Amino acid sequence: MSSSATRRRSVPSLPSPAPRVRSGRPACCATTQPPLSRAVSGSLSSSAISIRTPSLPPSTRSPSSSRPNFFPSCACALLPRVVAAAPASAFASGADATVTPSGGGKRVSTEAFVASEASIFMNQPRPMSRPSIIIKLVLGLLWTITHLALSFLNLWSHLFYNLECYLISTGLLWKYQNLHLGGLKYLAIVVDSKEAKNTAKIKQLLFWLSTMGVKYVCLYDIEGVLKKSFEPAVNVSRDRNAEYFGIGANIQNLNCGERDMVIDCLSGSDGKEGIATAANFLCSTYFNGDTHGDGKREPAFTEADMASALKTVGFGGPEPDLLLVYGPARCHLGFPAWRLRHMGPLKSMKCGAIVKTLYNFSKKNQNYAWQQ
Amino acid sequence: EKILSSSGRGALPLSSPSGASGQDKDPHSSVLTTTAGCSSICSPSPSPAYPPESAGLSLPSCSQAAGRSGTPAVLITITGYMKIKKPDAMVATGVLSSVQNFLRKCLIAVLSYGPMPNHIAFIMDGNRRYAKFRSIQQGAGHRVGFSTLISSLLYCYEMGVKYITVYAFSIDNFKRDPGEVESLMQLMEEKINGLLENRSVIDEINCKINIWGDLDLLCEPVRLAAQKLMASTAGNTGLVFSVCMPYNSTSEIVNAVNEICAERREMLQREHAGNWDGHDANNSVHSEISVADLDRHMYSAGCPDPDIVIRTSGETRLSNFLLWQTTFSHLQNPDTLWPDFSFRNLVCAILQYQRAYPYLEQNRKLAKKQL
Repeated sequence: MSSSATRRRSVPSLPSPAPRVRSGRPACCATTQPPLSRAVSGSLSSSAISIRTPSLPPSTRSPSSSRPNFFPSCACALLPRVVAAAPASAFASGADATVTPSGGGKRVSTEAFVASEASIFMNQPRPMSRPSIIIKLVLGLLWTITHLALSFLNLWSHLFYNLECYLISTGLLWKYQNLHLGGLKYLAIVVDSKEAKNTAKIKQLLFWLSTMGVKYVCLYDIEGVLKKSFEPAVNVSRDRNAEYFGIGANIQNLNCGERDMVIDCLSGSDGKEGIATAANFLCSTYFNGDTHGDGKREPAFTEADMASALKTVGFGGPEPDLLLVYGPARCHLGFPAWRLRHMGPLKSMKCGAIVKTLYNFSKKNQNYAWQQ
Repeated sequence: EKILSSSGRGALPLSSPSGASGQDKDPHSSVLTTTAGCSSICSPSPSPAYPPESAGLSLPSCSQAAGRSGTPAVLITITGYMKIKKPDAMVATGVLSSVQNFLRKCLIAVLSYGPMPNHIAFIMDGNRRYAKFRSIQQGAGHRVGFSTLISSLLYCYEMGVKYITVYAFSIDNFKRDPGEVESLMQLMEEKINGLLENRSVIDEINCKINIWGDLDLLCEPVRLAAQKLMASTAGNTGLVFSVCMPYNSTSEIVNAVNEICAERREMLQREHAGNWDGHDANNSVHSEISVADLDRHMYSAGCPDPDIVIRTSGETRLSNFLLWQTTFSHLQNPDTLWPDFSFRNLVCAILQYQRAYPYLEQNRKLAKKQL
């Protein structure tokens, strides 16, 4: 991206042939595409199969950083494409005086021109011509309609899902009654930090999980809210449980009747930063192994070394059999990389939803076992 | 009249990462070598049993008139919808394909109104299942998968997605049947060499090809060819296409740690050699390794994090793919098999991403603030 930035700075503003394209036709009309430039030889039939001059996507495009608001005028992303198509056609016709004649310089100058046009368009406010405003409005309308339709469909599926979860929780659906969690020893749940602040809900979730027979739960949220809310009550047990799992201090034993469940709370700092800490540990063992620094062998750590380093610095832990994500979007939000394997959705924290998800997982697990 | 002649160069089987368990239902190990090598893609179409796409915006079928409509010829040639047509039908198809192209462009224009992803990652899964369902040979399933990859790549390119990453071969896949691995390696080599010979197409779409992974695990000819390909496209500044083979996210992280250690050792050696008063050097060498240091040494240094990770065929496993980089990526698991992955699926993926965008963006900003 830095090269495009330098191009942006260095290329002077060039006269825009864009009005040629905007003059009357909608930008997306296929007939405004530039004529084809080359024929691809090879194994193709000799008839006119050719590649159009690529219309380069605007080099300044970046979905997150350059936009001041959420729904920016992304239609301007369309117009640079039109602008890009125009110089390509001018180029092909040879009318563009800024194009250098040499073959090697052609593509560079086209790109430079496109980049400059895109940058000019993106950076400077331009008076928009009426057709482009209308196009933009139409596109915006269509886009909004599309998303509304999608939301409507999602609403229906959400309703059905909630109904099913309700039925499961009331025990009407018999197939969910006897849940065999044989394959599931360790469950991890990624919680959105806002939801994590609702401690009562989390506690209820843990209660349900313990009644279902889950033995080990790992809760993760990126900001560390769960760690804070569960830490005061931590009853650190460095007994055989901890040794068996090799985990650090954030353990709490939840006694629920005769069923014990071990809970582990992780936060964002256990993810990448945990790996960085383990890397430091490995590095220091490497350097401390030989005091002189000369004639050392190449560092050749393996994944096993990393895993044991993570355990040593306190970021180790067993791999969850299933990772559930509770939040608006399916995103693991930085869950520790050494522990990520399976993922599944968890749309809501209702008891029925959990049962359904675990049931689906156990069914899949049975299939795998059978296949093996 | 045959539209595409057979060049004898089969499309490459695609390898999708399997879990270490090697289940049959699992993603299949096939190997992807090249993507932008469009000329090498103008190779035998998949078997005629490959059904046409069902929904409206299907891949344009091959047509001689396609050039007039402005469609990239590569899209036309790489179609999965190959038929032997008579000239009249071809003209009609030409009109149809231009209508399809127009509709596709309109749809892309509408989509572009919202936030578009900058980087999409694909875990190509479902080639062997596809072959099984259609009772064709496994190799043919991989070929269809390969052509699907190329068409998806070009659709992404049309949409303005600048970075595309695919998971071609997992380090765990080496544990598979040696014969299968051997044949995949041979195909990889063939495809990469094909790309190296036909540079025109890569240069046309200005594609930079990266191959991420532990290349030392590859056999000599494949490794050399891969390095040559990377070197020859290093100067391109358009689409960045990254092929992960053979790749594991955990080994990528360990590799980064190794590189940091080696770098610091060199710094220490230089300081010792040049300046015996090496206290300051020791300080810098023994400073804490930060997350940013690790970021710099990842294979994906210089590329933004993926916005979307799509794993086809409905599997929910992450299979050790880009675990470091996908902190805020939207993970999607459509049920379609990879060879059936079409423009429609891509549009759905982007629509879902656009719905999740506010949440992901908010989290990203919060995380940046905390740093």
